[in-house]
Amino acid sequence: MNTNQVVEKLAKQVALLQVEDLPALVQAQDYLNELAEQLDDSVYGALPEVASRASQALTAIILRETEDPLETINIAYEAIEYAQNVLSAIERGESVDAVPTPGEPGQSPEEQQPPIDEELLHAWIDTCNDGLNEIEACAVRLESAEDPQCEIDEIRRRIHTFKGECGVLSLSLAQSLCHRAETLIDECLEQANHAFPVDGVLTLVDWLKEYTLALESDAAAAPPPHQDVLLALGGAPSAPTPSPKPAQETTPNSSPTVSPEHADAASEHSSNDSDAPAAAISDSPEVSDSGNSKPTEPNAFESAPDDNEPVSFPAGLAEEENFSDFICEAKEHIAGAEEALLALETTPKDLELINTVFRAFHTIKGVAGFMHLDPIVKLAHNAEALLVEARNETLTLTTPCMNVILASCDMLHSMVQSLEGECVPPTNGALRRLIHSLEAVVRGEEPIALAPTHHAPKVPLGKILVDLGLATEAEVKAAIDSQSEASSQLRQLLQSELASSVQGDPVETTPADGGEESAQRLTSIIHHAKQSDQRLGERLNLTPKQLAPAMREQRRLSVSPKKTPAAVASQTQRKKHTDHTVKVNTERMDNLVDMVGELVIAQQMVIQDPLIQGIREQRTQRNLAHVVKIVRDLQEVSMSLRMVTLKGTFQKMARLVRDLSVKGGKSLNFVTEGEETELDRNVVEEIADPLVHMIRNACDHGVEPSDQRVSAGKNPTGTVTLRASHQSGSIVIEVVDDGRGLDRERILTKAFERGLIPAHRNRETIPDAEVFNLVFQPGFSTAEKITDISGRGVGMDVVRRNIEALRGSVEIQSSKGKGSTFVMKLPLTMAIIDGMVVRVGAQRYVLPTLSIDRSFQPKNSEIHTACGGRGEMAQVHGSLLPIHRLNRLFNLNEGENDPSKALLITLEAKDSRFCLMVDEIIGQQQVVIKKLGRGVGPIFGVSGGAILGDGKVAPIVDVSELVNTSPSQAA
Amino acid sequence: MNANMPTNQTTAATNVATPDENEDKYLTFSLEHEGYGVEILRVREIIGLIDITPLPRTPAYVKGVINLRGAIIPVIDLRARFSMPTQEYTEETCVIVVEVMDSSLDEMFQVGAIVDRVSEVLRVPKEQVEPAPSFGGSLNTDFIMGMGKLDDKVLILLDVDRVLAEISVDESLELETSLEAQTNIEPNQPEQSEETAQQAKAA
Repeated sequence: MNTNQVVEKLAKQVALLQVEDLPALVQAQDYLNELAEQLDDSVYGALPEVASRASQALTAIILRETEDPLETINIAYEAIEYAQNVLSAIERGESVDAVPTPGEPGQSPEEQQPPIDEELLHAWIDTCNDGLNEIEACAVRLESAEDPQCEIDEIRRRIHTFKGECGVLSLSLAQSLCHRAETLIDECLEQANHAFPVDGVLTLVDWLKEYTLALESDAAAAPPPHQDVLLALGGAPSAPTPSPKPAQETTPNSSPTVSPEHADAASEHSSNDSDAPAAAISDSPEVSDSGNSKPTEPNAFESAPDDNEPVSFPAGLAEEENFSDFICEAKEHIAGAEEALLALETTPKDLELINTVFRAFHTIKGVAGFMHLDPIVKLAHNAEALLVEARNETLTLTTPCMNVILASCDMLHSMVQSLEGECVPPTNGALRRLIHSLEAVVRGEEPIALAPTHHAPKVPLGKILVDLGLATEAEVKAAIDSQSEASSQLRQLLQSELASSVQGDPVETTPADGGEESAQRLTSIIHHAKQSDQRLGERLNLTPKQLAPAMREQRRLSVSPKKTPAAVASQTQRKKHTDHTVKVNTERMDNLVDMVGELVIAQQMVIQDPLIQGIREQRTQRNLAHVVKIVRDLQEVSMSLRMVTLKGTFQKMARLVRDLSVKGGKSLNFVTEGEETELDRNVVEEIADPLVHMIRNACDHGVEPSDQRVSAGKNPTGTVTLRASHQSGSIVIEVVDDGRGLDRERILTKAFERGLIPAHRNRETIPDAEVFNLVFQPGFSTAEKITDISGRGVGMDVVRRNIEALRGSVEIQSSKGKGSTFVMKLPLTMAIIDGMVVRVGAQRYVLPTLSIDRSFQPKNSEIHTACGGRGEMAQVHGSLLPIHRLNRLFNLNEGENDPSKALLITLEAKDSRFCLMVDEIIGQQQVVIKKLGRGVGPIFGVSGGAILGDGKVAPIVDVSELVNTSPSQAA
Repeated sequence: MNANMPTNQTTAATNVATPDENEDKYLTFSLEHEGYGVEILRVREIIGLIDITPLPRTPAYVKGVINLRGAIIPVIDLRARFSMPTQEYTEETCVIVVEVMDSSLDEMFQVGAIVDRVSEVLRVPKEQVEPAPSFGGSLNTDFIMGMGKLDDKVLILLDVDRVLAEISVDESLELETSLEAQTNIEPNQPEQSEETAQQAKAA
C-alpha cells in the first residue's frame, strides 16, 4: 500500500472508531505504526513522529490506561488530519513544514467549537443538580461515615460521570476540573494516610452548581472564575508536583502511555476558554504513572496454547441488564444477515443487501464490545471488514467468500448460544482460523480452508489481540471494570432521561407506558440510529477528513434522543417494513391469554344470566353491548399475541438448502410459499426439527445429481418447495421436491428383508400409503451409503415422533421419477378459530368455519342411498357427495335421524368433500381451542375442546379425521 | 413389598421417623358400599357434579370433560371404571379433582373422579397398610396401592396414577374384564401369602 492508501484506510478506520472497539483500535494502530515506521522524515516532515504519538495514544486506550479515551482519541484524529494535510501539501509541491503539526498550541487549525445543544444541556442541568447534591451529601457524610470507602467510591463515580457528561457537552473547563479532582482523589487513595480532599470536592461542587446555574439562563454563559477550585484541588495535602513529560521521552515501543502534553493539548484544542485556566490545568498530573505495563510479545499467535479451549467470555454476564436483550437481538441480526446473504448469492452487487449484512455485524460488534465479549467482537469486526471491501466494490462476493461469511454467521450464532448456555462455545482455534480466512479474503486471497496449520503471512490484528489477552489480561480487565463503571452510569442516566422524555419523542411508536422497557428499547433505537447514521455519512461519500468531526459530533448527539430526530427518522424510514416490537416474557403472555379466555367466558355467563337478560333498560343493554365488544377485541388481540409467522423458520431452511447444495454438489432451487402463515409460537418452535429432516431428505435423497437429472430429461437444477397454508383449521406444511421420488420396490424389498411386512402379503396389492409410511420406521433407510447429511434412517422417525407429539400427522405422496411430497398437518394446539356451533341431540359441537362450504336442508328427493341404505349421498350442485351422520360417527343415541328434517353441512377436508348431518346450526363464534385434558388419549374426530358462552365445553370436530377413517373403523 | 407404595419408600425400612411420617392421610370415599381412599396430597378439590360434556367414542367410564375455571379436564366415573353397576347420580355424588402424574412426560395434570360420596379424611398408619392381595393371574391389582386395615373396615387405597392416568382404549377393556372378577371377591378376604403376591407382581 502506498502512503495515500494507508492514510485513507486509517482515516476510515478512525472515523468509525469507538473506544470500546478493541479490534478497530488495534487496526488503526497498525496503520499508524506503518506510517511511523515506513516514512522518511526528510520527505514527510513530522508525520512519522505524529503518527507514532497517535499510535501510542491508541495503545493507551487499548490498555485502558487513559482516563478519558474520547479525549485521547482526538490525538488520532489530529494525526490523520495532519497526515492528510501533509500529503496534499506534497501533492501540491509545497513544503511540508508549512503544515501545522497537531499539539502545537496556537498553531493548530482553528476549530469551531460546536455550539452546545441547548435542549441536551437543559436536560443535563435538570439531572445534574441532583448529582451534585449527592456528591455534596457524600462528602459531608464521609467525615463521619463508618464505611468511608463506600462514600468515596460514590463520589468518584459521580465525578467521573460528570466529567464524561461535560465532555459530551463540550464544557471542557468543567471537564478538566473534574478530571483534576478525580486524579486528586485517586492519589489520596493510593496514599492511605492522606485525608480525603473533602474541601476540594466541595469547592468543585459549588463551582459546578454556579456554572450550571449560569448555563441554565444562557447556554453560552462563560464559566465562573475557577481559581478557587484550582487552589482547593491543588492545595490538598497530597497535591502532587506536576511533572509533565515531553512526548519525545517516551520511545515508541516501550511504555504505551499517553503523553500528558498531547492529551492536554487535545482537550485544550477543543476548548475555547481563556488561556490562563487552560494553561493551569494543562500541568495536571496525568495517567503516565500507570505506564509500567508489561511489554507485549508479538509471537504467540500461531501456536497459541488455547487452540482447543473454547473461547471464553467474562463471567457474570447474565447479571447485565441488557444481556438477554443482546442475545435476542444478536440472534435476530444473525438471522437477518443470513437472509440477506442468501439473497446476495443471486444479486451479489446489491448494495442494500450488503449494507443489511454489514449493519447486522456492526450492531452485534457494538453491543458485544460494550459487554466485553471479545471473541464475538473480533469475529464480527473481521466479517465487517470483508463487507466493507464488498461495499466499496473492491471485492466481489464469490461463493468461497460467501461461505466464509456464512461460516462467520454460524460461529457468531453458536457463540451467542453458548452465552445462553445452550451449547459449548467454539474453540479458540476455530475462531482464529475463521478470522484468518476472513482476513485472507479481504486481502484478495483464497480463503483458508480452515486448516489449523496455515499461517497467514501477516496477522497483526489477531496477534496483538491475543497477545494483549495473554500478556496483560489482568490489566485489561481492571481497566475494563473502571471503564464500564462510567459507561453504565452514563447509560443509567440516559435511560432515566429517556423514560421521562419519551412522550415528546418522535419514536412514539413504542407504548409510552412501557416505562423501563421502552426506555431500554429507545436506547437500542438510538444505538441503531447511531449506527445507521454512521453509514449515512459514508454513503454521502464524505472524505474521512470531513467525516471525522462529524463522527465526533455524532457521538455527542447519540447521547440525546431529543437531538436525533433526523437519525431516528432515517432509521424508521429504513426499517419501515419491520414492525416495532416489544419483547415480553412468554410466561406473562400465556398468563394474559389464559386470563382473557376466562374473562370471555365469565362475561358470557354474565350476559346470558336470565336475570341480566330480563333487564330491559336501554342504557344497561348499551353498556353490556359495549363490554361485549371490548372483550371480544381484547380476546382477538391477546390471541394474536401468540401467533408468529413461519418466516423465520423458512429462512433457516433456505440456509439449510443452500448448505446442502454446496455440500452435496447439487444445484438446488429453493422456493417458499405461505411463509406469512401464522402459527402458535410453541408449534413453530416444535416444527423446526422435523422440517430440517424433511428438507435434508428432499435434498439428499430426493433430488438427483445434475447429470442424472439431465439424462432423465429434467431441469438440471432441482427444486425444493416449502409451502405452508391453512386448511380446515389446521396448518399444512408441505415439502415438495421434483427428484426421483420414493422407490416403492426398494422400500418393499427392504421391508420384507427386515420383516416389517408379513412375508405372505402380496407385493402388488399393498397400498402406496402403507409402503411409504414404512420410511418412518426407526432405522429404516434405503440409502446405499450413509452421508453426513442423511441415510441412517433416524430422521424420518424423528419427524413422525415430533409431529405426533404435536398431535399432527405426516403423509407422503410420491411418484417415481417425478418427486415426492411430504405433507405435515398440524393442529392449532393453542389458538383461536372461527367455529360454527352445531347441535346433535343435546350435544353441541364446534366445526371449524374454514372447512365449511355451505349448509342446506335437503329434500328427500336429493338423498340417494346405496347398499341397502347404508351409504347415503346427497346431490349438491350436480355432484354426489357422501353423507356422514355425526350422531352415527360419534355413536350417539340421540339426534335427528330423518335427513329431510336435519341439516347437511358441506365440508371440505383435504381433497375430499362430503356432507355432515347435524340437527341444526346454533351460531358462529370464535372459540379458543383447548386441549381436552390429558388422561384421555386422542379421541376420534375431536381435535380439542372449546368453552362456550354458558361455560360448558363443546368438542371441536376434526373434520378431516371424520372422513379419513374408513367406515369399518368408524363403526 | 412396600416398594409399590410411593409414600412408603423412604420410611418403610425404619421406624425412627417422626410420627407424621409413619402415617398417611387419605381422603376416603365410597363406591358401592366399599371404602376407598386416595392420598390427600393428590387431591386438588372436591366439587359438586357440574355439566359434563360427553366425548364421542371413549370408554364408558370416561364421562366426558368439564370446564374447571377455564381449563378442560376429563372426568372419570369410578363406578364405571371398576365395572360396578351404574347408579343415578344423587345429591351426594361429587367429583374429586386429583393431580396425577403423566410418567411419560413427567408432568402433573388434573383428572376428575366421580364417586358416590366423599366420607372423611383418615390417618392410616403405615404399618396398617397391607399390600394388595393377589387374586390370581387374571385379575390386575396394580392400581391398588395397598389395603388400609382400620378398626372396623378395610380401605382400598388407590394408586391414582394408575387408575386415572393410564387411560387408553385398549387398556381399559382389559381392566374392565379383570375387574369384573374382582367385584365378586370380598376385598377383605384372607390374605394371600406374601410370596404369591410378589410373584404376581413380578409377572
